Amino acid sequence: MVGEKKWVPYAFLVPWIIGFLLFKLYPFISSFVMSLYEKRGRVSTYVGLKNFQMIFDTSTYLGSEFMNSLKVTFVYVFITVPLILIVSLLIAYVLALKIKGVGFFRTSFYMPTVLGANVAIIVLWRYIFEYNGLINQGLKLLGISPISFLGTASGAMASIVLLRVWQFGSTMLIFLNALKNVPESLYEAATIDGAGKWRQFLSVTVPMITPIILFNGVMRLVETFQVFNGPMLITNGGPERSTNVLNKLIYDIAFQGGDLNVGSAMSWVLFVVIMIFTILIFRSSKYWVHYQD
Amino acid sequence: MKKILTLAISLTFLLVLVACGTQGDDDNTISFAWWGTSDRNIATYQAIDLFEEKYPEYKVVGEQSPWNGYQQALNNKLNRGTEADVFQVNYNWIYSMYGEDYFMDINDLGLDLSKYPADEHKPLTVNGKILGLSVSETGYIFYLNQKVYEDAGVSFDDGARIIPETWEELMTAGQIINQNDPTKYAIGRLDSQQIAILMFSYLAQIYGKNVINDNNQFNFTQQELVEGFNFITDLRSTGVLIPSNAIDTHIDGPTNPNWTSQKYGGVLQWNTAISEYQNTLPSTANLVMAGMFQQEAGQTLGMYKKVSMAYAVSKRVEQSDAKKEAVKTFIEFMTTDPEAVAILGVDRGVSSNSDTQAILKAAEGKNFESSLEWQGHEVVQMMYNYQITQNIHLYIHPYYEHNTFRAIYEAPIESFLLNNKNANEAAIAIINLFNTELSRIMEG
Repeated sequence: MVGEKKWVPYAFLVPWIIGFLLFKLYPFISSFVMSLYEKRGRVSTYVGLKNFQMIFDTSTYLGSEFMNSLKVTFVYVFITVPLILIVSLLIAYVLALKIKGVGFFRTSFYMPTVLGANVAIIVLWRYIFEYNGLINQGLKLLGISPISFLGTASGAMASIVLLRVWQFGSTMLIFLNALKNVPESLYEAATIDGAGKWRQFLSVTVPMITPIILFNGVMRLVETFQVFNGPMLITNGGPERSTNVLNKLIYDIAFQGGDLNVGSAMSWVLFVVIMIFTILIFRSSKYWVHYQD
Repeated sequence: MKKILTLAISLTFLLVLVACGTQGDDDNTISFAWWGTSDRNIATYQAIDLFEEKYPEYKVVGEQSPWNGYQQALNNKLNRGTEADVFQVNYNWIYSMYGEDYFMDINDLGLDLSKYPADEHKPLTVNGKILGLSVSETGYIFYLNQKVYEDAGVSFDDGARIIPETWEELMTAGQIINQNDPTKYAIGRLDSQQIAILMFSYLAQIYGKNVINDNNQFNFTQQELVEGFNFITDLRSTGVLIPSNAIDTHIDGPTNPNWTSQKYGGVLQWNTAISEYQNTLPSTANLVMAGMFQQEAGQTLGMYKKVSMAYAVSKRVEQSDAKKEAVKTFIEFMTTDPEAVAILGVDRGVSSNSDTQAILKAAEGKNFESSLEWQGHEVVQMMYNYQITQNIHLYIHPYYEHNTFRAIYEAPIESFLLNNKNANEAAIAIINLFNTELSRIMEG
């Protein structure tokens, strides 16, 4: 009987472990090995760091494309992550208040996350932002000139940022849970001290949920650095490469162009960039994250 | 409980192993991969059924796929050695996919190539090895929705014809159509790829030069390229093309609402791909083949062509004579069996094989010759052959459409179409990178 109990948890873990080994760890290691090789037909040659040198050589088209994609990715991440955190925290704060019909609003705000950034939703999103799309049809009715969202760099970036921010549900739910765990006594004390709602939010709520802000921030940062669906299906990286994020470039180089070696090198640069930012955030957390214990 | 868990774990491992395994390699089973839309898929499966009926000793496993993703999947399969025995390829993949390493020399299959024009397989030949059987050839030509022209009252030669023949007539038609209804255009929206070939065709008419010369160098000067861009500006200011691509961001041509609602009067497209545009038009439309507009009436210049697609055979097939025989039988059936050819029709373009063409012409109740694909094929071949007599060889270079290289000329053209670069800036951007990047891509 005791032996059986020992088996059970491992048995349930087996499918995940197999999936992890096959679809995560193996590609992770093999992509690093591939990044050190050059393949012509069936012949692979060890070239050391040549692929990495190539992608950082801005005198070539490949290098300039890579640097452009890196820049575009940074812009996307540093607009999107703060926006998601701010929007989801504010909405979570409102939903934490004891207001009528809060369950309905909670469900409604979570719906976009359930729908996700799947192909159907993204195609719909595209139709909304196209020159003859829903938004411009509405503007026309109001007598306002149409806006070329997908025909300008800033409009296209705004479209893919909005798509991601729109799916703030998971972040919001985590914040909502954290907000409910802030002791009521702290608000009571702040009220006695004469703090208004805004002051309470800044001086009580935010400091109390900084561990959750850290968690959500890191999760969203890692996730948004790897964005692909929106830029691929809404803007196809355009116009003029203005939304050609790194993952889209990697896809183009590795799968469309068939150069898995250079694509792997780019993936590893992306991995290192994500790791550096994650470490920086964790290092900085000792200055702004407050743990109750 | 222990037994159940052991069984569950074993099954999971088994599933994983099965998923990782390669396909069976029975000599009498032929796998055939292609990309296509529903019409092509239905016709191909019907032909496969017929093949299995006529040759019961063989079984064919069809691997259909949409265009999107086909190339990536094929790249991966070639890397893993799991590609189909016979697979449809674009002609330039012979080069970009290192065909010599992965594709079999079809000379070794013993197929009868004497029914094809002598030069048909030259672009598919690397170091003397023919790495694909040409399915059809294709060229970029204009197709116009005659209804748009009729509704606006366009006519030439005192009402004798509606369809323009020269660039000047096209611009006149554009002005009439656009003045009649400012939301309508003689052509409408073309993307960077289409504008590139339009511009290079126009310049080829004037200078008689291919885009890339025999030394793999860009063949036009900056001055000539500026002239090409200025020509596009003329088309945009005369109601032929929209004034900026920022006012129509729907990038898929056939489903563009302005195309389907007949605001756009035409398209520049490979003649083998026109059915996609034809299928999305309403029944009131009248799509006609307009060929390539000319500098002066009566000329037939500026026609680029290429092999549209080819059937490649996996190098793996070389290892077994029985498999080679099976593959040869299947390919011969698909290209020359009267019933199969009639079923497959012209959806993959018009074959240059004289036997296949004879079968298509004779197919009862089909009238393939009246199809837009066939009409396009005739004009492409006629113009190309005429150019050869003038010593003008406008063949699409095998790396011209390479997935990463094409950005070298398409990106500046995109900026020009969005009015973010002028003609001179766009021309400089192309000239600066073209030769070095082409050389880099060709070196692998």
